[in-house]
Amino acid sequence: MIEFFTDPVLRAPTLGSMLMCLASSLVGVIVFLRKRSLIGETLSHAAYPGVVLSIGVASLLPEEIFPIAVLAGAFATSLLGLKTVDILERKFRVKSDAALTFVLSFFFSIGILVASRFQTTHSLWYKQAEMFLFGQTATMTDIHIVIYGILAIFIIAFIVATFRHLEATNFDRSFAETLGIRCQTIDHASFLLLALAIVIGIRSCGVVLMAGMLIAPAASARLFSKRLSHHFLLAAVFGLAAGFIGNFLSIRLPQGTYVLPTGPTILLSAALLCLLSLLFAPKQGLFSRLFRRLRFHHECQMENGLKALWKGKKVEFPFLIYFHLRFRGLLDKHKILTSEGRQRAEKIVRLHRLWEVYLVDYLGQRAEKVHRNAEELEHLLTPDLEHALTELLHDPKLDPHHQPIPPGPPRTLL
Amino acid sequence: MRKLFLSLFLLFGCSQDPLPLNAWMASSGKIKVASTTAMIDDLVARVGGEKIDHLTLIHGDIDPHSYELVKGDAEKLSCAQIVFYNGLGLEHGASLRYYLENHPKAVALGNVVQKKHPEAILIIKNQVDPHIWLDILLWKEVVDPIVEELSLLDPENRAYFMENGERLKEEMDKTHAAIVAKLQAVPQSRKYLVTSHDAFNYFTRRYLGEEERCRAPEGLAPDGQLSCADIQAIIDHLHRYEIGVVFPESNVSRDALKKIVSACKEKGIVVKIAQEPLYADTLGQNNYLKMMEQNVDVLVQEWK
Amino acid sequence: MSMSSSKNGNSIFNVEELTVNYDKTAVLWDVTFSIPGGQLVGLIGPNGAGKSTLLKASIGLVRPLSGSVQFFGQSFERARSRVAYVPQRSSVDWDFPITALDLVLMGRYGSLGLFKWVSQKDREAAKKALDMVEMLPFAQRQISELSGGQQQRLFIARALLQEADLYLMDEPFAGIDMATEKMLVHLFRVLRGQGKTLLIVHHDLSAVQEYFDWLIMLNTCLIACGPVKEVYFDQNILRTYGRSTHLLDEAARLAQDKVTGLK
Repeated sequence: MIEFFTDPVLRAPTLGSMLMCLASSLVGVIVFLRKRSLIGETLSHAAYPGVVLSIGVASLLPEEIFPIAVLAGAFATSLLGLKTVDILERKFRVKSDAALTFVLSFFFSIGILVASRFQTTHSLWYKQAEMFLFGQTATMTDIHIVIYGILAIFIIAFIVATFRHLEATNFDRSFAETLGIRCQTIDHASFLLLALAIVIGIRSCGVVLMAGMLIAPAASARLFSKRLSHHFLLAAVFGLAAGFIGNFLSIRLPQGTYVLPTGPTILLSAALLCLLSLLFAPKQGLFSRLFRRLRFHHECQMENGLKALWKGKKVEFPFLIYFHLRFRGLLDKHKILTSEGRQRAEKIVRLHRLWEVYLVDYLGQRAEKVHRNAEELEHLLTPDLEHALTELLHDPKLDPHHQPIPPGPPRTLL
Repeated sequence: MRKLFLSLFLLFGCSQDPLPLNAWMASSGKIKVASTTAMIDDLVARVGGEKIDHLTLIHGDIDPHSYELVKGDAEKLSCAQIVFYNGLGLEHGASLRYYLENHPKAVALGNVVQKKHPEAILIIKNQVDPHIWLDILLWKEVVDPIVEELSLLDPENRAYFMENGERLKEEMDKTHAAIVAKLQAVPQSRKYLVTSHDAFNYFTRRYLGEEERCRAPEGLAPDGQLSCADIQAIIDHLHRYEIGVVFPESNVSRDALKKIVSACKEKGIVVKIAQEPLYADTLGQNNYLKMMEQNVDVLVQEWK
Repeated sequence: MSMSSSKNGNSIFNVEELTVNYDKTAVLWDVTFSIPGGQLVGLIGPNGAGKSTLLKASIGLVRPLSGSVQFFGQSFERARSRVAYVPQRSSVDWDFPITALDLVLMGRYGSLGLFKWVSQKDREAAKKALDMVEMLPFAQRQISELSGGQQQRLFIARALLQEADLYLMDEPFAGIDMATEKMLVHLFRVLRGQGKTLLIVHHDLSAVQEYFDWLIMLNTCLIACGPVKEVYFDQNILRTYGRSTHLLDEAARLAQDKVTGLK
């Protein structure tokens, strides 16, 4: 695997892609938190006419300047697109999504028109312009590593320098303004950075796919981070991982005639990471939540079983429940409650009946209606709530159905 | 400065279309013959002479593999009494391919050759290689079908067409012999051809020996879909046969070759890019036979 | 417009002929008053009366059409370090990745330049502020997990960290539980005891007499400004809440159309 970073054929695509992913995922966090994810899509499409025109101009300049000339052209039209969106929103009162869509289509069409003109006059330029539509990493050389490295460092330096200002501006803008933070300057700088990241990225991912690289790492990282600094770091990690995995797969996987272009493979890797995060993130992941719900359901079933046994009913335990109860020492091998089991069952019953007293005597509900509700809550009430209820209701001994309430745990009266 | 003006002129002025639409559509009493590629059109012009009006759809540096119909093309083609195209999957731009396959007056010359000599057609990685014009003797096989079709349209001039056809075939034989002679002088160990895209299989088979002697980073069509594995394979190939020169093509991007050269430099393999490009999918400023000769001159020059 | 203002040299918050337009509607019209120091000041009025706008225009978030505002005899830029602003809770994105402690620490961001980070001292002060609003156990909690009342407490703690002399608060009592409200009122009284001034936009008429010493009654124009006992009576209340300004709005709309050339 180390050859991806050292081999002269592989290192420029790998490192170039990784640097691109790093830059775009960092800037993507800002865009994501501002809830302006569509703007990445617009700016990358707006960069295309710049690419096409500067390819034409750059052919008249020395060869070494070519990558820089194309970056400069892309950057220029990207910013022009941004300015157009701004003017449409502010001067012409066009709604944000409409302005973004208009600029996207308009600029992109101009790019396509000029490129297809090239098809008949300068076929070579046409092919080079096409390269930026979906990206081409295989022909990247070391000069790209240098350029992208410098730009990525610049982006990182900016974020580190203005971190607190970024946080304040994006979280609570009016408060930030009162502190004297120049929110508009931060905004302008953020958008410049966005254009820069996009322009870096379109060589690897292409204009069409670039926006995904901004958002996917930021969205994945959000599920794991509580703080902005963590969000940035994790997004960078996810971005770098996607960049590497994309290159790795596109080179190692294909056997035979088909080629896995690197740009889309990087995007798919990022999307896969996002999907895994959505499913498995410890707190909010779908599977994590499902797991917790199942676990709670399982606990409820266990407690219901104990309760039923305590009341003297005959109970058929599903194997899993039986095994777990045995494991916890709540049940012995003759399916009889152990002393811990009895204690546990009594606690549940107590909570159930206490709650019924609360609903009927304190809140004035009818006795016939409260059983269902208590069945649910008996599994949820915490010791603190139990104590509060005991105090509030003056430690009742009977529930609304005249059944005895098991005594609570001995507590020192506070 | 002059280059700048020329580029701007080309960009915003006319395209390099040798025959404007109006002239083509005017009736002149001669049959109108359209061809997709300049290679075909060149032969058609020789056979038809002054008895026909002829037109090339894909002219100049344009890539025939991915060409799509533009405004005016449908009119040009429908005006013609017959349309010759290469077939064998060369014109795979969707709009052009659909038009040709559904056009009653379109003749796929490559497919005609394939039917006559199926063993002569190469299949590379499950795809038919369409570049048959780079083998003169194979390309000679399309002359007779052209003569036939023109004669069907204009039976009066049949003798004229046949005579032109024979003369053309003789010229092609002569050029073929000259090429063979020039390449004899080059030692076999030098005759390894690495180009931008995989266009030279037929050429290699006819003039250089085994087919393995030609390799290219991009496949049969130069669509830019290449991966690092392709580049690595070429580098290994260059290293294995100690190849010192790679040949760019007139209308394909040189990025892949440049990447290969710089990667080789680091690995200690000395490779350079030839000064002059080869013509694979286009004719450049030449006619067909001159183009073949020029290609071989470039090869011989670099392999000396 | 009856005004009962005490123009002692101690007035710390001065508003002169402030007029603000939003689009085509007048939100504030020629408002003039001043507030002395060391008071708990309530700003009341119906919805759309311009209460939030008054605060925002004072601190430069909204550009007024005309008029001026002075803090401690200076412009807001000069007096920035002595004024703390607590915006409405709904103006903030509570999905942002930030912990309770981080939010409170923002109170110190005004003094940070580029590449600067908060110090240990700042962190200690933030923890103390959290403790004052009884939120210290929640220091590492994500703000999206907190209730409305808890979020409001964080906002107040952040303002405390700014160690200001004048606190401007936009509807701090809206949508919070009783316990939080009681705690905040107690805290505000402590601050007043320390000589601070609090100007609080209050969203309804509940407990006005109980909470505030001084009252500003606003309905696009100033209805009254003065000690609660002097200005809080039926006629003023009726004029504040009962009178609609729709004729004024219509006139302003016509004027705006002419200015923009749209009609």
